[in-house]
Amino acid sequence: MLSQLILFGVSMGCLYALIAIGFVMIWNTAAVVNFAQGEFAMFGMFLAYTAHVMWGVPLWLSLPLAVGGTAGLGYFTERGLIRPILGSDPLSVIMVTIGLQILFSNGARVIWGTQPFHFPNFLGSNVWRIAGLLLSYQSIAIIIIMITIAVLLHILSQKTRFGKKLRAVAQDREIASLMGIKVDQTIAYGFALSAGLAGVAGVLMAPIIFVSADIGLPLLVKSFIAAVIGGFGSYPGALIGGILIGVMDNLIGFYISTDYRDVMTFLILILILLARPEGLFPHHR
Amino acid sequence: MTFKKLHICLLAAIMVVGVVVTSTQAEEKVWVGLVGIMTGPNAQNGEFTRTGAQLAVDEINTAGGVKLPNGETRNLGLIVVDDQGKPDIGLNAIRKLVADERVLGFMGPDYSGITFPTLFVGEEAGVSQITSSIAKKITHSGFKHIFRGRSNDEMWIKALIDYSVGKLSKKSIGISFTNIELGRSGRDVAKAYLKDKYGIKPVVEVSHTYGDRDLTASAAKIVKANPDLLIDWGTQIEAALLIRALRNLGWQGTFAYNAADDIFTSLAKELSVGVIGPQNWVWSKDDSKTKKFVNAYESKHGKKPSPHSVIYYDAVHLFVQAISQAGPNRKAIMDYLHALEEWDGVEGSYRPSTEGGDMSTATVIIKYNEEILPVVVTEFE
Amino acid sequence: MYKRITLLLISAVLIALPWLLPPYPMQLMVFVGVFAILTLSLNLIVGYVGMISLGHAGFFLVGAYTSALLTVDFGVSFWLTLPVAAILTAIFGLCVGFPALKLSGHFLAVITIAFGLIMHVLSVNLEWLTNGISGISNIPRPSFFSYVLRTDAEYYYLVLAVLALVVMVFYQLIESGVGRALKAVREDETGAACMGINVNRVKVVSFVVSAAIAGIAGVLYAHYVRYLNPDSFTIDISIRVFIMMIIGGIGSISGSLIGAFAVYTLPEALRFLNEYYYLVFGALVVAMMLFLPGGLVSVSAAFQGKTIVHPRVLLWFSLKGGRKEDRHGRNT
Repeated sequence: MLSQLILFGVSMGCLYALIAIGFVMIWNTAAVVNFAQGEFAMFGMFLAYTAHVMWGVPLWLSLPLAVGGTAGLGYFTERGLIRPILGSDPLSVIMVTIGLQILFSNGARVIWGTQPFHFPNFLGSNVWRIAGLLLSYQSIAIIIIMITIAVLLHILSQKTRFGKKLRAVAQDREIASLMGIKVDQTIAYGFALSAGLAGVAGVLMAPIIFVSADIGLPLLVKSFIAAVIGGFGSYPGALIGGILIGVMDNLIGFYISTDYRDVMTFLILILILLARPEGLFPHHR
Repeated sequence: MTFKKLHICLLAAIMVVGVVVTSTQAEEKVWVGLVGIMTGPNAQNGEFTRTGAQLAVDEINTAGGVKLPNGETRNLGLIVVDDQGKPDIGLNAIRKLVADERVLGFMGPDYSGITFPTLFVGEEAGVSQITSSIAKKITHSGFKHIFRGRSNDEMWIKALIDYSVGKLSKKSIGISFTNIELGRSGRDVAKAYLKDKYGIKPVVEVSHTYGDRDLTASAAKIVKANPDLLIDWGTQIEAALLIRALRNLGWQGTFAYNAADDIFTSLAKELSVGVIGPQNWVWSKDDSKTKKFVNAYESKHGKKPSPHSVIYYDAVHLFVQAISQAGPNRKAIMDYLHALEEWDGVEGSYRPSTEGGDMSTATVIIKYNEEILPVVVTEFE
Repeated sequence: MYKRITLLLISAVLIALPWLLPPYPMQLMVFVGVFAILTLSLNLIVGYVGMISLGHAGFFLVGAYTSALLTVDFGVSFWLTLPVAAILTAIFGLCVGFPALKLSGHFLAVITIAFGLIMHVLSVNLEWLTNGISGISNIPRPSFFSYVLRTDAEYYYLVLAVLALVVMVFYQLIESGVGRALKAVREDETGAACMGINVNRVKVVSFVVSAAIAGIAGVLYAHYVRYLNPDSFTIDISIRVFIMMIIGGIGSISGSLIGAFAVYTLPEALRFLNEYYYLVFGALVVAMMLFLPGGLVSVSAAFQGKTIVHPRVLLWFSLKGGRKEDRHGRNT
């Protein structure tokens, strides 16, 4: 049972990690705390739902469309709504993202309704029995996709021009622009990428937690905490943080209590923070 | 300063408009109210209650309206208020409803967690209330104005346990519930009945939070104890999530659940096969009244009515009977209902004069077959 | 001079309100008053000291439940439960304030979010104490000797009185040395420490005071609605109060009052939009921040004196307290 719980925890945690990584990316490049990050995940799952369940578009097309659409939403959000106030009073920027969170979640409610929807498993509902453990195909898919994305992101960051631009902007905006990098555009693409990551998480999550308009805020809180324990600003930290939360949720719920699960998870997080205030992987810019 | 002024002007303008609009509704009607969950994640439940009631209202008006004792005929009107599934909102909603003098009686709420703490409002105002909530204590706490339009959870649990333990001889039972009024009430009744009648103690008892979407830990606890039968009591979303987590972890037992209806099956899909559950009524029941109601509902809404719809449909008809016999007066209606021995609705036979207000005892146990259609396996009256 | 006149006018209107408004808007104004007190408490931490709290609903909850339980279960008088609740909430403020010393910025945000959520979960699960999700009903209205404050108007005056008291206390604080110390900490912690200000003490004390005031707001809330359940104290409320504070204008007393009024009554004014209203609300928040970041108070010239929102103010984002971003996007 323990290994089972850990496995399911890891797969769920990967989803939190994806959202957290996007969150950290926006923070690093634009110094914005994106309260609407959870809504991007929600949007991704709704796009997939509309395409696949409502309009019958086949799965292999719906999923990339959903992720692409979410990335687009991220891009336009940055260009239209964030860029004007970028660099001004940070509290104003947060308020805009809070406003966006309200806007997006209620927009989804108005468009699709408030009840949850079923989304079919990508590979059927079967479970796979391996070495005495039962794994659902969905969980396996999530872990594989996560590893792929992590590798891709690493390659992107180290080997591609765009990745280098992102890192340059994250380190020092003024010098980056002096070096000829279009800072504004980079930030916009960074937003798109972050939203896309959240979209992937949303799409992968859809069969597991049902498609509904109100999951944005809980997801945001979890991924925010993941980013913080990881050491705000660190990508591997966000990844570890997310997985840690996913696994802890299950272990604490099983061994200690299901009612107090969230409380205990928070307390442990607080203890980690008090012991190591900069997070597990402190990120010095 | 200017914003504040603008704001007050706007408020005033809206209030004026509101007064004008409501005062132009001068057409004379008799009114009944409905409070239910119209927005929020479980709004589908509320929608079924509203459409059930509205169907009855339309039927009555098409047939000419309500005939009052003084010979006049008036159309029937329905006022719907939203409780959003939250007790504090529900409290305000019911207060508003009851403060409206025209409302002669009202139906709902559906959520036991909203009905119970708000009972005092209807009681103080002397308004008859027909609810679909199943928690037992609603009719066992001394309130005189409340009537229950369906069998309560005690009857359901008894029917379910008699069927599964008595008939199917299940030996190890697990209990899980959503941590809301409904769930806790079901848990209490189940434990008591298992102990008193069968001397069985549940092998595991797990609760989960309302709104929680990751039930892996709860499921793991249940799977570890591996009961033959799991009695789950709560809302459809958690039940669907739970059964999926249970099957993912390899549990093969029977899942029994209190709201096994179309909302549940739309979420659980193929996992619903084999699920059993108590209900007050189901659309596949084989009698003429049911068939007629189901046809009327389906031709209007394109889908089958839920077990809630029939309660509210019958409730409207019952209210209309009371109004036509006793007149459009709150107290007279309540007295009439208290004196009414028997009345036949679609759901079954009602006995409004029962002490406490439990009007109906009709219960069925359904089981979902391979096509995810509910098949009635036993009936209790 | 001009300021005195406006102040007098506003006070006159506020006092006369029960005669001017019909019942339902009157009820709204009571809530506005309660939330104004809550917003002021948040403003103390964010606007004046520069810390962040996204869990103020937790303090609100403690105050409300304490008073409710004492009056319902033990028959204690409202006037006694008010200070007791304030003190108890202040203790919670102390507990949250200490971690606040070591952390700042987003780390503090996490702690406060965690606090709010923990309080909520506890109120749901500690059934023997709080009656869980069913909540506490039949909370009595306060009574003056044997006279019960039954009507909305009477309760409104109670809330108004408390609000006026809180505003006066704030005003005095700002003007005095304490206020200057707060501002110093907000602007530059290191500098403040060099001037001999005990930065840690300032931070903890402001958390304690803020919590106590939020607790008082909770007490007023509980005895007005007379039915409490955990759903009224979720993170949504914490965010809502935050919005009230920002929209009004942070660091401004009048801003908090206006913000509470605007954010609370706006949904009512938009009620005809039905399910669209919250959507429009979100859009308005975004628009406000894009076009009027100083908050509503920056609209009118009359409120200038106390409303300075220093553009370089924000410690919120620093990894370590007292750091601000320079134009490179780095921490100095």
